[in-house]
Parts: sequence; structure tokens; C-alpha cells
Amino acid sequence: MAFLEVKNLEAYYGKAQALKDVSFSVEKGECIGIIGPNGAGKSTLLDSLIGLTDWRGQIIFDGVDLHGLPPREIIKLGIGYAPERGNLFASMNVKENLLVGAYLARDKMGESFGAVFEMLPTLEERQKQQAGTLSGGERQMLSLGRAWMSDPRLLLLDEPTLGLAPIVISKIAATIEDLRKRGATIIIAEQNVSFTLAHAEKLYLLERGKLTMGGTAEELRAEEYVRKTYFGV
Amino acid sequence: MAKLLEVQGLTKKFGGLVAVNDLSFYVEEGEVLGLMGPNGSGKTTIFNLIMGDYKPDSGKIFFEGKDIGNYPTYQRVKIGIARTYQVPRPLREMPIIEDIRVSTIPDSIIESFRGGGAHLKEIEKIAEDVGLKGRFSMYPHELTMGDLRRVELARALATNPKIILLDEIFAGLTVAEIEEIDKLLRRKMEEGLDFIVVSHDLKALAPLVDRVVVIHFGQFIAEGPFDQIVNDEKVKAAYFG
Repeated sequence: MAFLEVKNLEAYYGKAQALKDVSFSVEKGECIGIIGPNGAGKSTLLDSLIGLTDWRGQIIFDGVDLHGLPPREIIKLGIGYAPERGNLFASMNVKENLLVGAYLARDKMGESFGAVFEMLPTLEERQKQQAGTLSGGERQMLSLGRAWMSDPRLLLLDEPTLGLAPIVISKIAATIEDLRKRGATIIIAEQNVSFTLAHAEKLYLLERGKLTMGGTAEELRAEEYVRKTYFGV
Repeated sequence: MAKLLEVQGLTKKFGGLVAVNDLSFYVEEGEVLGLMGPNGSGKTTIFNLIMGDYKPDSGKIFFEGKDIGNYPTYQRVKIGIARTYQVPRPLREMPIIEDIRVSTIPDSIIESFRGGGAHLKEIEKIAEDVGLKGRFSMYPHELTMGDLRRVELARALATNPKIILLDEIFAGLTVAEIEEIDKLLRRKMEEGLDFIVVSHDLKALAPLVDRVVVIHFGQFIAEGPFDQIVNDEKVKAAYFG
């Protein structure tokens, strides 16, 4: 069985169905990209994996069925989440935000702080700065760092490059590569297709709640529909 | 061409952090200005200063030659300055058509009693103009990011502005949505509206702007046509890395 197995996943917001029959799997150490337009269901898919939606189907993580588990139990099992635009605690400082991330993995806190500060030295420099006063790039870094503080074996990244300058995107890219060297398994949900193609070995195209295409970066690059719709060429 | 909007020696500090540092630039009538810089360089702070959300520590802001430094935000809107936000800020409990109408409600209580904002028909015309036809009674949570950006634009347009400050108007949009917003902006330019555009989507920004000002750590580092700017060594180091 794969590290993460998603079968026939359906998610709802009230009566509105946001995900339809979504199935895919992720192997340990892989980086998977979920690409698609806004409103396609990418965030809903990640929210479902962390237990934040009302979903049906099957999600098996490292042999454990996640159905009915609250987010805190899923985080304890080893899934970390960096949501879109960070969702940071704006009135807390950088260190306090990282501490919140470490709450369910307190025994490894020292180690995690070391790893996060090594990967993202800006966070060490700005430990006492209020999160609400950080720039877009710094917030994204803090979101990544906070997710890593929970000592995850699977990391979910939602739109890590949204609204960022090229120089900041390069830093986020370097951090993702660093995380991969540390053995992280990663799912990236992104609209920035070029960015995702550069990091993920396998990609899925999610449109109107359905996975409509899947394959390696090369295979998707070769698809005329993907080029036209997502690269505009 | 006369200068429509000008900032001179603008400085804004947050504690020990100098977010905008002795910055000067202008926008001419009929011009679209791009404002570029890495995250944290002060672009949104500049918009907040121009709108009067923040008070500068020093420096001046002129609109049509008048010093507007003492104008409260609503007066700046009245004379023709509007903005959109990087993260759309819809009124979540309202249908979008009502949300757009709120931006036309008079700022004086007495005026409000005389008439509560623009007539719904006028608002519907604006909403239709930005491409929201068929979605007037929808709520923000039912809309795509592309439509939320259209609501932002409609709210700004409803105030009858001479210039709109666009903060990351293309962020989070698909290629198709970017093309639609681009067409809409071009139409508004032809109708005589000016813009200052902040965007990290350079493919979308390049064909829109007449001139670009680049800032880093709140300071001016370069200015010129887009093609010249992206080849500037200082810009390359600060922005592209």
C-alpha cells in the first residue's frame, strides 16, 4: 500500500459538492503537485486530508484510515499543513507561531527549531517580530516553518508562491528542496504550474472538483491543453 | 502631460523599521504606472499612505496639484482616488451587488438620509461592465477569485475615480482570467482612467504599463520603461535574485 492512498474522495460544503470521486496515491519521499484553476477544489482537497471538511470515500495514511479523525489526531499521525496565505496568528510573534506548530510534537521541539532556523534563517532573525507585520514572503516562510515544527512525515503546501516576487519564490523553492533532502513527502497545491512542474515528479490536474489528468512533469508539459490553459502558449 | 498624482519625499516608519524611505514618484494624466519591488519593499504601505490609511512621518502627496496630506480617506476617494486590495475584502454577509453599492453611500449622515448611495440600476450597470452579469445576488463565498477581483474593481469604479491603485490584481488568477481582467483594464484606460499597478505577474504587467518605478526596502532604485527596467542590474539583484 502507498504512503498516502486517497480513494473515491468526495467533499461537500453543505449541499455543494466540492470534490468528486478523487483518487490518487503518494509514495514515501515523493513530491506531488495538484494544479488547477482557483475554485477547482485544491484547498478543499488539502483541507480534507487534514480533517477540515465533511468528506466521504477513503483516505489511508501510512496504513491508518483517517475517516472521522479530528485535525489534531491527523497532525499527531504526521501530516503538517501550510495553508494558503499562511493563516498565521497575526498578533503573536514569529517564535510563538512556531511554538503553536510544535504543540503536538513537543518532545522534538529543540530539534525542530534547529531545523527550521537552519532552513529559514530569516525566522531566527525575526523571532520577536509580530507575524502580522511580516511581508508576504516572510509570512509564507513562517507558514512553512510552522508546519515543519509539527515534525510531519507528509507536508501539505497550499499555494506557497501566491503573491510572491521571483526572488522570494526562489527562496521558497530552495526550502522545498531542502525539505525533500530531509526526507519529507510533499503535496503542493498550486496555480503556478511552472513552479510545480519544477519540483513535483508527479502532477494531477484538478478541475471542477475532479482529477482530469495525471502524469509526470514531462507528460503534462507535452499536453497541449495544459500548455494552452495554464501557460497561455 | 500634467501630473495627476505625485508623492514627494515620502517616509513611513513602523517602530525601528523604515517601510518607505524618502520616496518620490509621480503618475501623469493618461498614464499607467507599474510599481515593482520584492515582498516587503513597501508597495502596499505606499498605497495605504496615498489613501490616507497611514499618516506619513514626512513627505507630501499631491493630487491634481493639491496637497492632500490632510485629507481623510473619504475625501481622497471623493476627489478621485480608489484602490483594490491584494487579498479581496468583500462584505461577507451581503450579496455582491449590495457590497458594490456600499462604496457609493455618502460619508455624511445627513447626506445618507437624503439618499442612500447610488441607485441599484447604476450599480448593476457597473457590475455588468466588469463582467459580473448573472451573479449579482451571489455571496462572496460562492465566487471564484477572478470574480472577487471583479467585485473589488467594481467597488473602486463605483466611486467614479480618476485613478485606481491596483494591488496584485492578477494574483491567484488563471491565464484566462488574467486575459479577461487585462481586457477590462485596457477598456478603462481607453475611457481615460489612470492606474498604478502592483503585480508580481510580470507577463501580465509588462504590456499594461507605460512606465515602471522599482523600490527596494522602501527606497527608489530605478525607473523607466518595462523592458529597460527588467535589464537593470540593480533591479535584477533586488527582484530576480
